[in-house]
Amino acid sequence: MNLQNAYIQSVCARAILDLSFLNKLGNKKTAALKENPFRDYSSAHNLNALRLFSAFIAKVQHNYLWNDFPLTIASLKRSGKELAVFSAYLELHQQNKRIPGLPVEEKKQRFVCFLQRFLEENKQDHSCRLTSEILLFENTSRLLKRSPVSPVLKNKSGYRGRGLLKTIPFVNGNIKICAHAVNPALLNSILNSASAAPVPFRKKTFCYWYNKEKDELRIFEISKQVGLLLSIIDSEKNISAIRALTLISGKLSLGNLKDIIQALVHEGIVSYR
Amino acid sequence: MNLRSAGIHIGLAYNGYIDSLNEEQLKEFDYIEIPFELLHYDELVLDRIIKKPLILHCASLSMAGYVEPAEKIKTAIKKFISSTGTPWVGEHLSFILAEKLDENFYEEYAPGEPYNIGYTVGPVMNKASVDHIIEKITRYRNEFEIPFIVENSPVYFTTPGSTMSQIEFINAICNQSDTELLLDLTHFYITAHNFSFDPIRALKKFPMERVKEIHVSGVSTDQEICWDNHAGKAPDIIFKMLEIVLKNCKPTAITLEYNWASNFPWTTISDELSKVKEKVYKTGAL
Repeated sequence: MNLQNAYIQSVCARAILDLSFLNKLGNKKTAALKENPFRDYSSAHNLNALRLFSAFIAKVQHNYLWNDFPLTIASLKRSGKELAVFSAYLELHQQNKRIPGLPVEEKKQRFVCFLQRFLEENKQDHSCRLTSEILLFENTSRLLKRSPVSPVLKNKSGYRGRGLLKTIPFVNGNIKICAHAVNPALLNSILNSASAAPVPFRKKTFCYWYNKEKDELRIFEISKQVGLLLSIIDSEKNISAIRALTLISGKLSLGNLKDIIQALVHEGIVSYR
Repeated sequence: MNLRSAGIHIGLAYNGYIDSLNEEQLKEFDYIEIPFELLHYDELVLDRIIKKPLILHCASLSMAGYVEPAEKIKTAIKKFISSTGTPWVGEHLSFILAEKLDENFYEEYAPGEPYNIGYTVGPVMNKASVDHIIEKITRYRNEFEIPFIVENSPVYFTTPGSTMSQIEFINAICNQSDTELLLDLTHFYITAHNFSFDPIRALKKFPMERVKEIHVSGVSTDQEICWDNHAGKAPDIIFKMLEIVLKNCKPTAITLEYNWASNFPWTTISDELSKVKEKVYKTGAL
């Protein structure tokens, strides 16, 4: 066994696995090791490459993101930000690896939280803002499909007034109301477009509706008022509560309310118990 | 098709999307290449691809490392060599294991064991490393009773202690042993790009007569460094390199290694396959 080679490879391995150790290797004032093989070795360039390699490994170890976030990853790739993101994530990634048995779903959620922050902090960059829209779309879709559907015939003692039962509207399936600056339905084509023209951002309200029975996700633009109403219905208030809440909010007249609910019933999004 | 029969066989590296391919699509490939690490994690994968011949690919032996893999890993590799009927094992000319410098350092892949990077890293490339690798290839060939072919890793940084280029390193291994090679054209291109040499000219210095298998996959560039990318199609230069290699040697297998993205589109795989076949026919290598 060649001890020198073995030692050098151990230093490389440790540097790849431990960002704080890698940082110490590059700091001449800090003695990370008695013998630093990178010391006399055009170290700045090599250590930076080693740092990027470590971020690259972290990226590859997140290949499972392709399952749920293919457009987000493609957007990061297209904008040349993959390694910047995983370099920034490296410390958290290495911390996660030190937690025994951390489930993949938890790792995924931690990465999504980090990426949301990263993109928000860099939102002045147009590509980051677009990626943020894509991440919101894919994460919302993912969470909707994973969340259990509210049981339709769930007994709620507060709703059991005589004759009131059939007046309780409920959402068929799962919904989520989101504010998007780009129509989610256009994100795929925007990402695959050859055009380099910046996408105009304008906040609008969208409803994600997942029908678990049909395994169908529909996304449509709605007014803020309808968004508010759907959120209230989804929180399983009875019709009187909905009426009171929406009227109090000053957003809808009684006639509007009836028309909107009827339209939602007609579309199959809402039913009455 | 029997991989031991004459001619070049074209295969596909395993990824989840293979489960969704239909019979006609699968017929396009002669074999599936499957990583030992995946089988070790999910043995049921074997049931899903049992209809195809299999080639076992591996990183866990840490061929250029100075730490011996755990006995349980070796035992599992032996088991899958037997159950897959693989004609050889492709191993990386790299290390993933290294002796710990700090006993308190924890990482998830092998708690209580040496550093396990979980990814292949290019080794120190010097004379001592050549001798070490030859000893390991020979020992493993005897121990596992199967040929090991070694794959050139992509080089992203110069490992301290190196006195050779990767081509010199691989030539030295071939000159001192009868080792056969897995030439990853994409890795070769990446190394050429990152160290500013012409991959086409450099191929002439590569011991092509030892090439048993070829890998083809994509490339990405980020932070001014060229990176391995099994989630994208190969650039044209890879197919130009393939043509040169096929004119100079007759490998047994060419593997399309697009195994990072679970939603990798069939149309892209089909296009890449057509390009490989075109080169095979054009050079009369079939």
